[in-house]
Amino acid sequence: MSDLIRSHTEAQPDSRASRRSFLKIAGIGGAVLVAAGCDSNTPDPITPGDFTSLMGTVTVAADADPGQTPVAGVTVNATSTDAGIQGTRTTMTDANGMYTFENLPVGTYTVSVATSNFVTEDVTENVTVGVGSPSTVNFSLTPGGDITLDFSNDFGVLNYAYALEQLEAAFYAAVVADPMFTSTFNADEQAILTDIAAHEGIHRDFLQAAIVGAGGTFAARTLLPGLTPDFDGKPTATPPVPAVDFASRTSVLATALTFEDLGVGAYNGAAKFISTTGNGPTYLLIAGKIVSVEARHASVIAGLITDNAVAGEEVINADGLDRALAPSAVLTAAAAYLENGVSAINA
Amino acid sequence: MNSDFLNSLDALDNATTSRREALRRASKLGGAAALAVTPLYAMARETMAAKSNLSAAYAPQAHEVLNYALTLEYLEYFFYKRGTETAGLIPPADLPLFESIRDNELAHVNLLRTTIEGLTDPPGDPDIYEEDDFTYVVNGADVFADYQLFLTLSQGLEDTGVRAYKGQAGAIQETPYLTVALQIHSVEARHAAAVRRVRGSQGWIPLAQPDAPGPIAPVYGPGGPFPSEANTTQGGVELVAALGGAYTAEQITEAFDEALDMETVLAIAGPFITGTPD
Repeated sequence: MSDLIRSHTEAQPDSRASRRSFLKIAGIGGAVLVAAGCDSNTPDPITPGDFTSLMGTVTVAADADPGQTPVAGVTVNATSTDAGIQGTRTTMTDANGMYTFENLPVGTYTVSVATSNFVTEDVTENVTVGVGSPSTVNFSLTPGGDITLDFSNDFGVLNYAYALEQLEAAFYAAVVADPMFTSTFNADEQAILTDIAAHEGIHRDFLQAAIVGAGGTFAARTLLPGLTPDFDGKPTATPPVPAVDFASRTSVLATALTFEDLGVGAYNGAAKFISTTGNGPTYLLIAGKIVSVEARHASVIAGLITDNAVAGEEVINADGLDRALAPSAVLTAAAAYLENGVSAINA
Repeated sequence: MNSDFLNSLDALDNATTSRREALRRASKLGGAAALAVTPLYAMARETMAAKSNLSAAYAPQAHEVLNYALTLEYLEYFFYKRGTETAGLIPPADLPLFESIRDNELAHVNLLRTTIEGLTDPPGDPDIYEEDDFTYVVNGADVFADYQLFLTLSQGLEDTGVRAYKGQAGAIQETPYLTVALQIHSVEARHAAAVRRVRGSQGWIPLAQPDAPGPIAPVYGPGGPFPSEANTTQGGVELVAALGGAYTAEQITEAFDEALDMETVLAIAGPFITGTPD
């Protein structure tokens, strides 16, 4: 909260005394505002019917985006629990990341910004009355939070791959960094896991560079934020997901096989979403270059778990085919290992 | 190939003839020298493009690619069939792996054949091979008499298969066969990794596999528009430098498998294909 308050460009003086004793206005912009009765205990110097405006700009936080690019198309809510107001009004940022609430009943509001791919932020603002003295609440959003992957263009597929590689890279980084690594695994297994950790890190870093190179940005939600892995398990999920025990060979290898088989099925199932024009064919070829390496990983891990196995159980079907998984299925499985919520649209 | 089919689509016929011609020439040349085969396929592509209006139902190259894949799957299937049937060749501990690979390859053969037979406009015409259409000899030696040689060729065939499917992804991107081809492609990669492990190698390909035995060295080289497995440039960016030196060139090459064009693949595979399809 303190960061948000610092982001105000025009902090307003405390205006608690300006809370309205009685207010009745019509709903504006689809919001519902509820009329309430007098509060005789609080003298109010402001006459009923006073209005003000609230505005601001939503940008990407400077530490993620030095240019602090405006974020367009973000929903902004202004909610008041004041007795005379009690309602929420909603607007959206324009192409310049600006939003405005006009004709806002004076009072205390919590202004919040919520959009996928950014951490949700809100701030309580005491809006004072006064023609010509509108309140300003600016937001500088930190990439993160719940993410949405839009498969209507190639950024969706690229970020989908980027999300999965982030997860895999984080997992193997934790595997090789575990203090028990050299005792949990024999030398052959250590070499394998160290190699895979490097490969997944390369995939992650390459995809991020490729997305940025193609013009992907946090502000346009065409560049995924750094995701927050969670290997502590989801006991309430269906089926329950156990915590990864990084000191357990069985746990690490089982999780690795899950990720690798999932990755193979994800790439196989996503290829059809890649465009056939522009850079699309290049992306398809690159996805092909990566997926076969994921399949090699999966095979080697499967072989460490079970002699002569090349895949998890029932992964290869009777036609000798690997899986081709829908993004929604993959993201549901991946969500068990992420703090971020993940969803796909147009897929 | 039946004559009605020939009459119905001579563009497709040109492409198919070129593939068979490439195979014929490759099997005569043999080995690394076969890499220099004239790029007939590229010429056929131009012909197909000029006559693309002949086939509104499906792209001619889809039929071509499916038959190409079928040929490679027959090559692999009969290799593993004979290997698993050769008493004393494969140690009992490894036998289940090669039996499961054999079964996967047979499933691929059947799936591709059925898919091609299901094409109707124009009708599909699968290239059907028999076991005696293939001769598995490397440097004059019968691979079924030497387990290490068998493993070497197995690795070569699987790594070639991975590169071959990848090289055709663009040609079939707009067809319904892209996804199924990728589903085969990743299984071939699983096979490749497992066989490499049996050989005592890594499951992935470092650089252009500098320790590859001579007979399979071309598997890791360049072909057509595609670089060798030692390539470190992806999407136009040289990654050793771009990733800030965090990773070695060897790690970066392992992290990306490269594609291979049809002509080069057939030059590699051709010496083993001594018969002609029905």
